[in-house]
Amino acid sequence: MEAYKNIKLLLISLLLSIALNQLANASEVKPLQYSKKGADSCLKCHDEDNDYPILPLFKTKHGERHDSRTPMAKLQCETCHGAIGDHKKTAKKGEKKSPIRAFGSKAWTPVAEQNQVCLNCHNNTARNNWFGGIHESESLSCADCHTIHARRDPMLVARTQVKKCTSCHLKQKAEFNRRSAHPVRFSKMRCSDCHNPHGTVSDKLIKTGTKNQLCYRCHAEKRGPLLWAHAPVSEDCTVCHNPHGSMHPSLLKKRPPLLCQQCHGSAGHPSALYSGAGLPSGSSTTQRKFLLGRSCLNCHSQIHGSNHPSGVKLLR
Amino acid sequence: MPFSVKYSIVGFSFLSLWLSDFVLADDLSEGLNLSIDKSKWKCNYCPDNSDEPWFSEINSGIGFVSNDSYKFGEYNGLYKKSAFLIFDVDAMYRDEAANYFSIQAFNLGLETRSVTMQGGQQGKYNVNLSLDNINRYQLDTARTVYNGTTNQSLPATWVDGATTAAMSSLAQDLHNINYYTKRSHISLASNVIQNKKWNYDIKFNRQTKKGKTPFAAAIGSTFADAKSAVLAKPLDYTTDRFEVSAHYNHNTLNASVSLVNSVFKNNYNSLIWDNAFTTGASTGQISLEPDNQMQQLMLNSQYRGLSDIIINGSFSIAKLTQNQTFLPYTTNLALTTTALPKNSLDANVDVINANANLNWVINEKSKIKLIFEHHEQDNNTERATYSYVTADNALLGSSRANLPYSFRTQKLKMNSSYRFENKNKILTGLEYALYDRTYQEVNRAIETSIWAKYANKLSSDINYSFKVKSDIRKANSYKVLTELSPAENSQLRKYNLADKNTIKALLNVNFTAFDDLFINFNLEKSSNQYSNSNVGLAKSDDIALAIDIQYSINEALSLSSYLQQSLISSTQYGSTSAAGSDWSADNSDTISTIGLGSNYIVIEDELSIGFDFVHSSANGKISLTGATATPLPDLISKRNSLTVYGDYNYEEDITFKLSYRYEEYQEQNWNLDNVAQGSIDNVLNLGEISPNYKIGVLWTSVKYVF
Repeated sequence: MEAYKNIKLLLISLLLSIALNQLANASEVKPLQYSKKGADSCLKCHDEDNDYPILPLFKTKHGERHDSRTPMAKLQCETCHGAIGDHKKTAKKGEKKSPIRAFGSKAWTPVAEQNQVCLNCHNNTARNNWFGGIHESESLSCADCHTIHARRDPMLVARTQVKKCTSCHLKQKAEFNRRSAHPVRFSKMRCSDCHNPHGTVSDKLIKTGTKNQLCYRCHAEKRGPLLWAHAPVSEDCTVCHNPHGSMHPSLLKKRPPLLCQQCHGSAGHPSALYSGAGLPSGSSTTQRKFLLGRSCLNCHSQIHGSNHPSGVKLLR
Repeated sequence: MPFSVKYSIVGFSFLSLWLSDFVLADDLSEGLNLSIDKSKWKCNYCPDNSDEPWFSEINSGIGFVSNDSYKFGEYNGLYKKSAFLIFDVDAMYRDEAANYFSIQAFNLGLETRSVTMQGGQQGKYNVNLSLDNINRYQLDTARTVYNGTTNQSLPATWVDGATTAAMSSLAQDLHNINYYTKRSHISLASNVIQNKKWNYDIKFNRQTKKGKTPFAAAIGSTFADAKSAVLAKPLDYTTDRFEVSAHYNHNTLNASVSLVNSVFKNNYNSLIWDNAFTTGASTGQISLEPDNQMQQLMLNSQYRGLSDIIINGSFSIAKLTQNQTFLPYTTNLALTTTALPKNSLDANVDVINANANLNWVINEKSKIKLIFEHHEQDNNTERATYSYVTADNALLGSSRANLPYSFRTQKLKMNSSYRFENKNKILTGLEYALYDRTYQEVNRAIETSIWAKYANKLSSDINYSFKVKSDIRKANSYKVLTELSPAENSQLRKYNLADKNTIKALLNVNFTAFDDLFINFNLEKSSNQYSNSNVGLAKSDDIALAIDIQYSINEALSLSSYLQQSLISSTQYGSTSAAGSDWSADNSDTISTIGLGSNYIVIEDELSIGFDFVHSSANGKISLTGATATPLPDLISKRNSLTVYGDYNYEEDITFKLSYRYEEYQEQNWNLDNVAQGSIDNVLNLGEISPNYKIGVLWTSVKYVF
């Protein structure tokens, strides 16, 4: 009897919840009507004279009607922008037109909703780490970077991609202009050569499991393994290098001999102080080979490691 | 039934339905289960690709560079005083059967050209081909006495000297040598779509790198008698990378598996050079990078079938191998060496990466992400003992065994975010990391991090965020390696292993006014303290300020400007007695970058002009203390670049373009300044001069659209 009473109570609670829920939904969300004529309903107004260019979309993959995966093959404009609803109707005097789903960080549509539209289709493994990633947590919308209605999305071209990324990443923009840098400002490299802005498992959005694995894609000659490895080189290139740019040669964070003396101070020449006395005008001719030219690398040129049987001191 | 259980049942029912709302609310598959009449959806107003399947732009013209400079043309190919051709192509084709083709080609008139082509039938397959030349013009002020590639010899007229000052034929035997590298990438890739669930990729990439780069090599048994020369290391690298992948994607699950094979080959395995000094062996031989290979298997997957929870997993395992035949201990036949312990290294390293993470959207205000990471590099290379010869001059009394370094990093992270009613957000994170290493001073280090960020949207026009992070790294112990001879200073701490405290703070402000003015302000500071490092790096700081302003004054005129200032400083201690510190060095690098630009539409749809200006300067100061310290001059580099341009639309399809760039660069570098070939007694260097140029480039072109 008691059990019967509890079951009855549970069922009443559930029914009440459903009713309340439906009432709440009914009052908050009215299903929008789709258009009668699809894209024609939109393009009648949003034509080639539109302030924001719409028609170049049809030169792109999104506009291809013969690929069943694309927006234009599905619900056309309303696939992404949602049902037209009252948007087509002329607004009353003093009122704004009924809005439709819009894209970009300044749009009224919540960023999460905008991004879900894109991710409904673009949900392959390249974007697995979008959620919880740094750009998602910054409430970045896909449309903040990508231009869907352009003949060419600027994010897919090196010279224009860098301009977009560095509109937020100002420090990196300056670093690319330093004395020694990867050729990003020459448009010979782009941010997405190293980073996946959609999210990765690694820190700093780099595309590979570790930084070194990324560097080895272009600098495979340093991959080794070598007989006499230089330990920090094998572990992490950024112990010594700043990959975006540096005022020191070879993207180094500091130059030798002081760079090397941060880790090497054994008795003899590694521990000596090299100063202005070693300059061409200075008093010490002995200091010059440790200070001038390539400094420590005047002899220890195999700085990334050596495979020579006599290369233990990185001289061979 | 107890009172509390009754109400728990009621509460649970409500909770279930409330949560279910969030599952449904996020489902934006609006076409699902809706019956929409598309019979009148004719797309009559949609542009018809069959009318104009092609869209093409060609930009062609001519330019002129006023002076030679490798530094100016470092990566843009404009290193010579000469005329050059401009030829860029941007074309695409798309027909009514979903066939498409696209080509983009830039700088076809220069050595630094690039071409990217893709085509296929959309929804079925695509093929991509790209070619890109990245040439680097490194040094054009060097002079050397050596000739040759892998065997660098002295001229017949050469006279050895005890020091460079004593090399009597040095001046007459010098000749110019330019250092540059030419890198070429060719990529061919294809994607085939089998059905809605499966698609496959195949990719091939070949990189070649040829040229020469400065490279010093020494002959001698101790630092006192070592004599070195700066040579030209020949480069002839080829790296081939081949990858095949399969991708699965259906509803709540996606997965991919990839196999990668990468092979690096070096056409040169050693460099032999003549000794230019009177002491030491007559020749030396140094090894060049050996051939190596990598094979890798990668797996990635995501499951999103649980309400509000996404689970990701990735795993890769790679094997790195290298087995090039060893060179002999020495080419000095006067020395009697023991046999090599083996003919080649037979190096073998396994690299494992694993990551699992779980994203949970608890409700519309809060999210949490849990992450586990594992990186491992197991060096299975055999150890052996080598009776090495120091720089082709002397046998060492004792032998050394190689150290096959292994590394492992494991991290646990938890990130969370909470959004307030007014859209402000607070984000927090915790991280715990273990670092394990073999054959190094620290076997295990633990790093814990905590961070918090507050993001506030004051209005639709102003928002700011402030983040602060603290990392603490502790080594379980720091030991002096017995394998090294001479032994390292027991008070020195290598900064990548030493105990470290880091504090980072970041402030970002965005401001918009009148929809025309955008201001972005960033200030970040990072401070590292190595409190247990009596010798070595003791502290480092990095402060960076950036301001970016974009202003559209009216429909015709826009302005942009940015300023970035960085101050990077550090303090390190040294010891001339390999004990407690008795000298110090403070490095302070100040780097400034300023940009200014404007675009003005003089006549709408007809004439526009503009300019871009960039200033980048750096000043590096080193302050030394110690008994024998004397000052070093500042390190200075400065670049100013001004480009002015104009575009005239002669007709809708034809645009005339005219541009002029003036750029100047100066550098003061005590490493190189006044360092002639004979300036360092026991180093025959290149006498290179710090780059310094003033260059103008004028170019004009016609863009034709058809």
